[in-house]
Amino acid sequence: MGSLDDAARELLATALQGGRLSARGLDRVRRVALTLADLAEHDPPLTAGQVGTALQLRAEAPGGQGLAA
Amino acid sequence: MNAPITPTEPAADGPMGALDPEAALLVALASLPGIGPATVWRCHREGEAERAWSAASNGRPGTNRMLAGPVGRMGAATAARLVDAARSLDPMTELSRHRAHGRRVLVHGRAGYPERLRHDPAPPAVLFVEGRGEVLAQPTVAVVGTRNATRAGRELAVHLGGELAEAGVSVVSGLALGIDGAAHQGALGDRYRPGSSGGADAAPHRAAGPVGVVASGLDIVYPRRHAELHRRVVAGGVLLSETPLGHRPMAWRFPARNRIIAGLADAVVVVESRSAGGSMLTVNEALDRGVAVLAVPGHPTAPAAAGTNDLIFDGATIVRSTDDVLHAVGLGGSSPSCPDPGPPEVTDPAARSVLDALGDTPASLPEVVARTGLDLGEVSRALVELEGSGRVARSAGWYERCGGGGNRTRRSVP
Repeated sequence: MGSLDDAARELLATALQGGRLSARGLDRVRRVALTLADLAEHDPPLTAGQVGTALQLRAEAPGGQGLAA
Repeated sequence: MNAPITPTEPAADGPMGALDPEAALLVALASLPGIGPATVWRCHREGEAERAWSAASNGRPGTNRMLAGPVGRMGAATAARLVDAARSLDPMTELSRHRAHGRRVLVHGRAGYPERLRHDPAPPAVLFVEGRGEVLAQPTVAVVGTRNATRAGRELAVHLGGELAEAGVSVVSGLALGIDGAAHQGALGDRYRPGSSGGADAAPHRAAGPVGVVASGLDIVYPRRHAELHRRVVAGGVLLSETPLGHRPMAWRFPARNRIIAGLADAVVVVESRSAGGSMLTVNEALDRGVAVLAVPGHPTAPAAAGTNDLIFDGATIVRSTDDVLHAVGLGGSSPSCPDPGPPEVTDPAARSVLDALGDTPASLPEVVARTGLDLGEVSRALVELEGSGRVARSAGWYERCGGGGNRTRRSVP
């Protein structure tokens, strides 16, 4: 799966330390970030912007928004 | 025994003493055999109620633009019954009848109609209401589920209903057997007691209260076992229906009533459900309206958990505790936790920009992006760092500065 650039790695560390991201959540964040990179046709490694966005999107849904219609 | 005196106070829906002709026509149309909410809605929306009624009572419903469709689809016997009914009913009398005993008749677009349903994609043209409508001004959570609930499921529903009510939430449900009834019992202050539906009345002065939406007329108690619950819901909260008095809860009326449940809710919680069922219809209605859907997880082998587990798999929010539900409607006791900052000045320009954008007003992610003019990636990254250093806290989709002043009024789900 996508490798991370230094800034992205640091950002994930910040989120993990803050307890706002679990190990299982980490995996999903990386997948979402990878999708964002694909959509932007951006080559690896993943950037802090992509990882950051994946983190905010994950945190965003209070319920129902993730449910397939 | 002396009959109680029915006070002739004016209902909230009309000017003092006056009867609204449109309301009268809609009530009458809704009472016709084979005529459902969709047809009544069209008559109201198109301003055709009078013409439709006239055609029906003159024995020519099939010639009327609004009624032709339904009349064409119903059998000859039903069409004949429709004409008989139209000839024997007087709209104004029907309206008066429906406004007796403290009940109210609310028409879409008129004063008094529930604000929550005003912009609903499929609102009832006419609604019958009994009890304290003001409980709808509080946060609402629908708690629904199968009629064939397990004991554990019912216990949970009672518990959840109780904790939600304690937190100031008006609990919405359908008064059905199983999960629905249990949720309202909990909301009314009962502890779990198998086989009972009685108990003390909830304090009527609370701002929140139970919201019951039924498929029958308000005067019909269904199921009969819930007679006492029915009474308590009216006493402690509000009961609504789009079905006229005296009409039984025909099977087709249940899905229709479920859309009203979804329409009134800030969030829908499914406690137990099989893969298919009424609760799943309520979920679809909630999704159509952008209402949050939550589900209680169950054992993988339990039939009553099949539907709810499916929902979670598909992305519904899992309910591990009442807090998960409260969080979904912007309550939850947990204001965003702002740890002591203390750290040095924020020098990163993007972070600075985000902090300034948050100013005194909490914002959602798209709002922060709009306010800063930065791109989503930059904003997101800055937010991670600001949260990490304790300068920004996030809760239920809202971001806010820590330690800043700011209005922390309760918001509805973003």
